[in-house]
This record gives sequence, structure tokens and C-alpha cells, in this order.
Amino acid sequence: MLPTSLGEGPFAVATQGLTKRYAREPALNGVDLQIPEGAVYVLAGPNGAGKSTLIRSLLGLARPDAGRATVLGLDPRTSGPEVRARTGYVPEGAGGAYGWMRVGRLLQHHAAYYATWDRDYAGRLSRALDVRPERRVGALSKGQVRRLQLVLALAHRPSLLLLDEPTDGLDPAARDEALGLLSEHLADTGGSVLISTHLPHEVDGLADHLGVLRGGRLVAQAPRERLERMLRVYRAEGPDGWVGPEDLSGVIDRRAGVGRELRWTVWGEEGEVVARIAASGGAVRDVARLPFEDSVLALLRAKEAS
Amino acid sequence: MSRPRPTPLVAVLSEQVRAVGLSLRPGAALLAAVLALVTGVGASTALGAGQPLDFPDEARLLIGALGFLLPFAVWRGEKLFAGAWLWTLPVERRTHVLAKVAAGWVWLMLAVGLVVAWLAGLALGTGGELVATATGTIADAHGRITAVRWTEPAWGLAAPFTIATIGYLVVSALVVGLKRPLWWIAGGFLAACVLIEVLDADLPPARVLLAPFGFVLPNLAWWAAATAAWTSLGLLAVWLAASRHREG
Repeated sequence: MLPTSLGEGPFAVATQGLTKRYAREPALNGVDLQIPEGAVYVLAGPNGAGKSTLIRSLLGLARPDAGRATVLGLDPRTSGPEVRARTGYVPEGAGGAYGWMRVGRLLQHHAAYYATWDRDYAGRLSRALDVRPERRVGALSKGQVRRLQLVLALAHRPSLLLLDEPTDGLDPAARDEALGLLSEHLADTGGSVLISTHLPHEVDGLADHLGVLRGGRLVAQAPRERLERMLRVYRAEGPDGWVGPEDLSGVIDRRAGVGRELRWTVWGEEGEVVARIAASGGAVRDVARLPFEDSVLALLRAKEAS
Repeated sequence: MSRPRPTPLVAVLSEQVRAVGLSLRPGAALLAAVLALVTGVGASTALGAGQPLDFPDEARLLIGALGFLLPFAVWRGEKLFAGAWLWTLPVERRTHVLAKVAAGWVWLMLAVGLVVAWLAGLALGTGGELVATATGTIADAHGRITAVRWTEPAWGLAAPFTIATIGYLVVSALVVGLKRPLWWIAGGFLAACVLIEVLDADLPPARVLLAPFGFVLPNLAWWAAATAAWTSLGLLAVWLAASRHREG
């Protein structure tokens, strides 16, 4: 019913049947992720959906139990260091880095590991994000750590960014600044980015692809343009007792509106859906495109319904 | 711009030496202060009494004990079994662990060297001896008591380095390879005590410190063999522990 394949590549990231269990609980369940080269792919899903596990699997930090992944043409299980050399990573949460280190020293530490580290760029990013080198990492707030992590992820100019909740903890001004720098980075490098989030409206302006993960399953993935074209809300009225078309395919949600009005959220070609509703005796009053965040919610509901 | 590749081993090692050195700085400063205080008091007391200050025999074991403690400082803050920061860097994970262990060892040897040099300097400066001479009695197989005079061999001065190295390797293996190393160390110690008690009530625990593989050894050949055996065992343990974190 919902789209789960983006067709032919080239893909910066592609997984086939990726499965990961913790104890007996599946964190990922047969995920077929496809991130086209040059795409800004937003992976949305509630907390615990498996987003972080998926990203960690792509970096070779978590070992999948089944399935395979290809990242920039490499298998992270056998070429983890190569993948990480070409990838900028913002991990989930604010912990992890050396709390005893000063920010400036942590930047030097990272610089030593990346041959492509651009000191001037790192300096510019630090100034833009107000990352102060004299501060101790352990004394930074959650938002300050997030900004530091963004500098660390971007400053070696990777061709792929894997950002796990990158706006978590950022105030609106810092978020705008960070997303602006991210746009610049993508314009400069032509790279690809995966942004995982449970707050999709925060990255609405950047996204050109959407994937929805729930309970370890990729419910849907599609280019934004297709999402906006295919996912619509239809408002229609009919005679008393009218229930609408019985076999309307692609229905994600159906609700009773005011009076004799019915509302459907449907994945399908608008013309076909309108024709089906009309053929069943209803009159379509309105067809509306869903905002990005509402699209995510609708796709999450679709999974619940199924 | 060069093509992104995993970090070369030399770069990893040199950065780890710098980073581990930075992380150890507060502990090293504290240790230096304590050492200066203790030796300063000892030296002034000895000189006040008009006696020279010998290189303390027991200091060898104490200095060697640095090696048993250092791994905890080197790996402080690294959650090796829960998404360590180290793993996110572009280096094969087992290699990364070994590089960090090696970096810690470099600083350990430097610290041991400085402490030994400081104590040796104090001994030589006050007219004392570097190697201890002791007298005592031993009983032969027939129970006859004989007085003996024992002079510590000069190669014994290397003992702090080897004891520290072996201790460092063994404890590093535990810290790197186990989720709860302190629990295992405490549990292992208790289990060993119980085992010794159950297996042979007459066996003195100090027996494990004696030849052929203990710390108290009669000649250079035995000492070299025991050191090589324990060092090899330590290296193997570190390799196995690091292998728990290998890629793939």
C-alpha cells in the first residue's frame, strides 16, 4: 500500500532486510532503507523506533543479526573504519565524549584522526555555533554538546552525514544556525545526509526524502515531492447513510466530519481517489495537502492501522 | 583534498599518547606531590640522624603497583560496552584498543622511570646504596639453621618496570575485556583464597610469589624467564580482551 522502495539508485546508503535484536526484542526488523546520493533523508519515528540502532548499524557500531548494508559503496561490517572516515556522525544523547577534555583539545583530537579535517572550516563552524574552545566538555549543557558534535561531524567535510536527533537540546536560534550550516555544507560537498528525528517539523525546511520507522519496521519511504503529491486529505459529503467507496485503496485514516461529511487520508493519485468517491455517490468538497509533520503522523497511523 | 581513509596507526598511537597523557595529568600531579612529601620527610629524617638513605627494597613492589592501577585511569569514561566515543573514530576497534593500551604503557614506563630515578638519586645523593643488603637465617632440609647474607642483584632495579608492565597488561585486559572488571577482580581474589584454603590448608599464599614464575627469583635466568612468561601471558590477555571489540 505505502511506498517502501525508491526504485533504482544510485544510493549513498542502502540496506536489505537489516535486522537487529537486543535480547529477544527486535530493534530493527527487515529494514530496506534507501538514501539517494545527494539526498537529505529525514528518518522519522517515535522514541524507541530503532532509529539510533539503524544509524549505528550503518557505521559498523552495531552488528546486525541479519540483512546487509551498503554505505558509500562499502559494507560497514567489514569496512567500518573506511565508512567512519567518510561519514560525519552526531550520536544520540549528549554524553560519550571526554568530559575532562577542553573543547579545543577535543577538536584537535578529532583533527588527528581525519586526514581531511579542515581547521579553518572547524574554526568558522565553532564561531557560528558559539562553540568555545576553552570550555571543559563535561561542563557543557546538552545544547552546547550538540553544537560541538555538529562541528566534529562537519569539519572533516564528509560525503555522508548521519545525524541522530541533531536538533535535540538546541534552542530555536541555534537550531536555525545549525540547519543553515548544514545546508551550506551540503551545497559545498554535494553529500548526502540522514537526519533521524522524532520532531520532523524541526527539519522540515531541509528534507527532500522521508522515511518513517516504527517498531523497527520501515513503514514508508518516499521523495518529498511524491509524498506531497500522493498523500492527501479528502473531505466529501454524501446522502444520508452514505459510507463512501467500500474498496478505496490506500486509505490511511477515515473519520466522520461535521454532519454528513466524511474525511479520508489517502495515499493515491488525486484524480483516481476523487473519481472513486464521486462514483460512490459522494461529492468531494476539499482536497488538502498534508504539512510535512502531519504526513509523518499519518504514515505512523497507517502502521498502527495495519 | 586527500581521499578519506582510516587513520594510520602511527597517527593513532601518537594522538593516544598525547590524549592519555592529558587525562593522566591530575593523577600524576597528585602522585608526584605524595612522593615528594614522603621522600622529603624520609630524607630529612635520615639525614638528621646522620644516616644515608638506601634505595628502599619494598619500593620496587610499590612502584610496580602503579601498573595495576593505571588501566582504570587510562580507560576512565570510556564505555566500551555501551557505545564508546572511541568506536566512532575511523580506526579498527581492536587496533584502537591496543593503541590506547600501548599509549598508557608509554606513560607508565615514564612514571616508573622517574620514580626510580628520583629514589636512586636520593640514595646516591645521601651516600646510600642502590641495592639492598640483608642478613637472615634459613633452615635446610634437616632443620639446621644457617645465617646468610643476601645482596639484591643489580638487575633487580629493573623489577619495578617489569612488575608494572605485567600488572598493567593483566589489569588492562580485565578492564578492556569485562563489563564489570572490579567485580571480577574482587570475585577472583575471593575465589583464589577459598581455593587455596580448600585444596591445601598448609600451602602458604606467599608460595605463588616464589620461583619458578613468582617475583622472588634466585638468578637472572629465572627472572628473565618468569618475566618473559608473564609478559607474554599479559600480552595474550590484552589481545583476547581487545578482540571482544573487533569490527564485524
